[in-house]
Amino acid sequence: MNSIGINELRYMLQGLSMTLRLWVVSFFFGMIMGIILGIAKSNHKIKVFRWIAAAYIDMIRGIPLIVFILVGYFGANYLGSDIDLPRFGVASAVLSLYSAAYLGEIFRSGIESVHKNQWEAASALGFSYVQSLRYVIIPQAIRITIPSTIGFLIGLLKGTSMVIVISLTDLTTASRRIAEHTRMPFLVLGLAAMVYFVLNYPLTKLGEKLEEKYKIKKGSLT
Amino acid sequence: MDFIDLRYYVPLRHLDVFARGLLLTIRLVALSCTFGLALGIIGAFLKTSKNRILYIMSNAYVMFFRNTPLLVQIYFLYFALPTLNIDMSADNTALLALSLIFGAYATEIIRGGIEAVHNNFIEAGFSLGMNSLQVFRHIKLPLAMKAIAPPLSNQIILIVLSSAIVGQISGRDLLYEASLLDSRYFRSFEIYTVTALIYFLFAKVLSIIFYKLNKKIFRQEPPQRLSSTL
Repeated sequence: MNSIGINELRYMLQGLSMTLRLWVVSFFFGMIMGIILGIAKSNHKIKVFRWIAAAYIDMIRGIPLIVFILVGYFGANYLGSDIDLPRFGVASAVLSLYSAAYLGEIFRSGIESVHKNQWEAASALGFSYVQSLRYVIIPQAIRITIPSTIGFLIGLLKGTSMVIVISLTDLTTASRRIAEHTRMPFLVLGLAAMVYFVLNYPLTKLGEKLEEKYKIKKGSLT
Repeated sequence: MDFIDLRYYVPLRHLDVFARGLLLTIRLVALSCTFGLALGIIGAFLKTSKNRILYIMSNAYVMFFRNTPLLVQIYFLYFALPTLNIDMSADNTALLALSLIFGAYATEIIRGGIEAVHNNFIEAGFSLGMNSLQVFRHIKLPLAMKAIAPPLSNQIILIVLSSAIVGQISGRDLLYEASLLDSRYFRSFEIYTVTALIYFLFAKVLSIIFYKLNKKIFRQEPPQRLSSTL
């Protein structure tokens, strides 16, 4: 039986670094695309935007993340050259697209939660659609969306473990391999669970505190 | 584009594999949601009790399953339980894991639903001379169920989507059957897009069914599904 030494810990740290990188990168790009999607889906002027955004969000939210990663990876390889595409890039891209759908729905809900009077007041003051969005609506909407966004951030960290299907070594995969190698599943997987917990629990508490503070009800629970 | 060579006849010729997988997923989700609901009721009861120890236990349970990835939980059960001489098949381990996680979410939902019953109604019941049991049965329970049903049905749909992970420990479900097909024919893109479509249609059908059910029984519009379980 092999024991846990510095090499095993280093392997798990590599996995953790992969997880964190995937998490941060996909959240960042997912936010950008999500804001655009949210604005598009709540657009009460151009129906096409609303329809396209709604179709995209609905489709992505109806399939499991693993299946989406597989579809994205094989699809990207299909359309690409004969060389294998870099897996971290594909994984981040797919996770970003996935986050964009959920964050888009969250932003749309936030934008539509802003009272209609704000739109009227803005247009009464002479703001165009884009200007009223930028200066009046979105600042208020962001405040409303913060608890749900934090909730999604937690879900995204848990979702980065799905990249095992395209053979990326994240923390979950690394600890599984170490657990099999050292035959100490309780310790190693427990350690991995603790790491995820330590990363997620403060976010959960922060989300609960902000939800209390702003008295904003989330739809369903994360 | 002459380099695109999609062969959709591969998955479409093997729709029976997908059908079998879908039935396995339905069975998995139905069983784990039933057990999970029982766990959730117990957990909600523990979490609202005055006993400090029971509260800490149920809170730890909920916090653990909500803050760690599903894959870690399933690996933990799959690899750690045999060391305690508990030998379960992969399917049963998957069932246990999904039940536990659904139980954790259900605990929160049920607890929230019970606490959402406005105090005025309860006081009105007491002032009409009902005792605690009658208040619970005639006032708290119906009103709580009305608050619980929409998020609970959302959660069931999320569990359907999360159940795809059980293939990682070779638990049999739709994605596992699809991956077996993939390992035979290597038409990965076509096979997985068909799998995605089946999951999507199944989730859509379920959400329509729940919507109609909730409207009819509880006269309740479901709230927006904002969050995700991953």
